[in-house]
Amino acid sequence: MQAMHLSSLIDSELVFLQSDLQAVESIFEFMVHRIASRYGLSASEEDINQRLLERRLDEGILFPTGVALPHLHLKDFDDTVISILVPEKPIETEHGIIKIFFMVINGTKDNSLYLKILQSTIKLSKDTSFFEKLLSKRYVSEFIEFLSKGDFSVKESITVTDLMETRVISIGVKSTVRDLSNLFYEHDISYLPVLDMLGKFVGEITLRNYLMLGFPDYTKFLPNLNFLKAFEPFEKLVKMEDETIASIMQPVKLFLTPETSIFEAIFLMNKHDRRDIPVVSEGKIVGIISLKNIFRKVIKG
Amino acid sequence: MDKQMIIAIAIFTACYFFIATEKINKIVVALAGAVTYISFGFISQNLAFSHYIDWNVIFLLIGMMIMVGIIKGTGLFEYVAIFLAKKAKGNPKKILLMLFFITGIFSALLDNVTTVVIITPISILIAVEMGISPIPFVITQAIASNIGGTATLIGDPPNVMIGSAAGISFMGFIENLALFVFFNMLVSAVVIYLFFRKQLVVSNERRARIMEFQEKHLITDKGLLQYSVVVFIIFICLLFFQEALHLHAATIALFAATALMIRARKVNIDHFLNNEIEWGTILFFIGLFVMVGALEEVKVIELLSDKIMHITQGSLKATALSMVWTAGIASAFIDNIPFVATMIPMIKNIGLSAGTENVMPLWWALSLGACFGGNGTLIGASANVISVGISKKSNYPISFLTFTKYGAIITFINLVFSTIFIVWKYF
Repeated sequence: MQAMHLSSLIDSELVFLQSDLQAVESIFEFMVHRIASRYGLSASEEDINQRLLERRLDEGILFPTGVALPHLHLKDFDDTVISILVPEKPIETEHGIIKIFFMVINGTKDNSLYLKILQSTIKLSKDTSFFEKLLSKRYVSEFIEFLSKGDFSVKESITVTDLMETRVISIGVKSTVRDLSNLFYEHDISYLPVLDMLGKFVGEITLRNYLMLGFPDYTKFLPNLNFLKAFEPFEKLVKMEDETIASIMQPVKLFLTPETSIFEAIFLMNKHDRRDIPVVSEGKIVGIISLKNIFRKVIKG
Repeated sequence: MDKQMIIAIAIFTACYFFIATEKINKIVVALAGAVTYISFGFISQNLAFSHYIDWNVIFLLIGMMIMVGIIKGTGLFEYVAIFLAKKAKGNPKKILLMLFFITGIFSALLDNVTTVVIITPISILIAVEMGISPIPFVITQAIASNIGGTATLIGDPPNVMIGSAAGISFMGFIENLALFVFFNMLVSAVVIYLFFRKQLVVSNERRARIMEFQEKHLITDKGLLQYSVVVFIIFICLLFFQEALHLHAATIALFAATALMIRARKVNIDHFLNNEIEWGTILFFIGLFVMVGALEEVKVIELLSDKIMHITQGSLKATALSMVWTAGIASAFIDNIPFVATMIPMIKNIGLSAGTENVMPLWWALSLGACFGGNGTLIGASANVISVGISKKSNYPISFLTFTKYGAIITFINLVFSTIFIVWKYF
């Protein structure tokens, strides 16, 4: 992959520092307007604003370091435009604080450049001292020059830390199957790590494991179960409601470290037929990376 | 006995020990033994590959594995099991006996392990739906598979090896063993009925559940099923006329297997070849053939067969009867495949002096002993281990003693009848 510097992609006319706009909507509107007047976009401005606002901030737009990356693919648009806006004061939203906006608009043909931009933007925001200095720049030329000094070319891949869910919902070994069922339902998730009394990560249960509790093992050898009319596998599931998690949990077969690349994570999900993989650091679970996460943040992000 | 013979026997004994105790994977042991013999010049690679590996056995097994792999995916066997359970009107005693016989019949046409892998899960399901313990079903089906497999050339690996080595055709097995095996099935069925009849009581409501099964839904690809059944029937017919056609069993099996693969082309053939052919078993056979070949090359086999004839004072009758019991008892404790592989060249050797025709009873004695002996203990046959494994996974564990209690009695009865049969028919 050829390394491309983030700063070389930036059009200085589209960098806005110390902006006094305070609402996300009006910032989007402003940036779209400036991009449109400079590049003549195929869709109308209202249309673009509409599409940008349809996406919720927590779905791959806002990252924990304070970077917002609103992004849009436009048909018949043959370029990639980045506009940057730094608000005077960080903007507080229900999903977190926004310190800087990187709006990216590109064509529908090639997504790879966008991924590189996403990657290097997240990377620069993680270098706290660099990021703070960058935000404090008062002049556009200064801003771009400073940005070009940082090493934000795109050699490394995105790691699971960038995309994992850090608000980990877990279940204790002493909880019951009923609790398990409730957690799956309430949070609409398909994977639960099991923690012991000391918070150590000791096992896991997937939604599929849970449902299969109702199926006796011998049924797995049959070609199909179509011939059963009266068979009620979930009778067994109901009977098991008071059993503890310790008795049904599975050993942790697969986990990633925070440095694992996102490509490796997808590769392993495919290889092991998994939807979720826990991310472990020093014996503690620090996040869960899921197919859903990757899809929302990388592909649709 | 020279030094080379002693070393050869030592290597062989060590391998046997590891295979019997399962301290090391048996496939690895057999291959390691084979490679050791070749590396140290007990047997040349050329000779091992060209003369001692019985490719007829290898390809007959591969052909059968392919065929069975395709047919078992059609749901036919489960269909038959449920069909019979409904015909028995949900009466558990009738179901147990019907499944016992159908397992025996399937096992005569397929290998034993495949038969129990198919029939055990569906029987457990039937028993659970009837609200009774599936354990009598699991045990009797393992027993039926070992008995039924004895009836034909393709029913059990020892017969495949014996048939190929002695040049006995499919018809040869049918004419000599099929009726006698059926008789053993009948006798065993009576014993099994006496063993389990008290446990097999079911309420009317539970019987009704069996009658609710809609077995026709098990068949998802009717076209493939019909085609497979036709090909399998042609396969069996060709085996019947094997001698007139001058074809080896392996050729016929590969013919049928390729015919099935052409129809099943929609499925990924690579995936299929990787999963349905048990390459481990194939390599195990290859390793054993080479090992036994090495013993032949250094004349250990000759020595041992002379010893046997010396002990039995040249009496083929005494040799045949001791073969039934030795093979039977040995097979109850160790894998019968290496045992039969070792016995085959010995019988051939005896045939050199006693006459090929005259040693025929020895082949039948070896087959009956090795196949029936598998029921002697839980570890006597792979079919037992596998079906008990499925039962355990389904939360119905069966202990070594529980299985052996029933298996040993039936084996003893089968071996007594075999003794009478051999004397009555061949001497």
